[in-house]
Amino acid sequence: MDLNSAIKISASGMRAQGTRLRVISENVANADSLGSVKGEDPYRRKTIVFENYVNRGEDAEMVRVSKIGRDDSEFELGYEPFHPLADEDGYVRRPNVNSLIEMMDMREAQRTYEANLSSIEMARNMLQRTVDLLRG
Amino acid sequence: MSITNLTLMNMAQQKLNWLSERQSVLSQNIANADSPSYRSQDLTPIDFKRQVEEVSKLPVAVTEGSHLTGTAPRGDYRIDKSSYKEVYEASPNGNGVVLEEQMIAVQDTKLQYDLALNLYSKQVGMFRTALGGNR
Repeated sequence: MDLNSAIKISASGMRAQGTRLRVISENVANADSLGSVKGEDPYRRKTIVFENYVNRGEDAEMVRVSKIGRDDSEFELGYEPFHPLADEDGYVRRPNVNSLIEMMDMREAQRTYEANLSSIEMARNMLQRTVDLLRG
Repeated sequence: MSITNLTLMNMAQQKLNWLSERQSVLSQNIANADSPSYRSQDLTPIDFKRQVEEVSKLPVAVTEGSHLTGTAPRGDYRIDKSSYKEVYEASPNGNGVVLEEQMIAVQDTKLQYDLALNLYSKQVGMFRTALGGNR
């Protein structure tokens, strides 16, 4: 039944966006996580990549998370000479999390999630109307 | 004469099949709205002429098990990957799904589905009228 598989495909999209939101939350929550000892790296921002794959059971191209990677960009430096983690020059390395980028990602995840949701609603509505035929 | 063989019923059924398959392709596009290098797809539009031919075609009688029916099996509706080759915009990761376009297509599919269903139930209503009695 195609409408059922439509619902399943959208559900896979929502699952993927949910994972994305989890990664974003990790980044935002750890935006101030420094290393626990001097010289240790602070929190490194995580990234997420999606891929489409053919689900043989449903005979449809679904979506899944292909990899959760790490953002290898430079850490931010803050000048705090009296900080316990400061190096010889007085700089503290902070996580490479940019809250603006995370917000934009969050919005995008939200929009795609909503699109999937209304697609499910539409398919469900169509199914419901078909079942209603029985009531006559 | 059986109810399933009536032209109008049959055509409505085909239309419904096509629309639900299209809905599943559109869901696929929306689910993959953030997958790198994914391009959106659509079904080839339903062909009224072909549909009429298909519906009014009479199958060859089969009197023995080894006989072939003669009519080619109706293939599934084909997915047209080329229809969106020229995308309005593609994101830097090569994704070519425009959510707005897809939402309009979903909405359109639903409207057409409702239309076909209404035609179908009207036809059933006509049968009821013909049958008469307590409805």
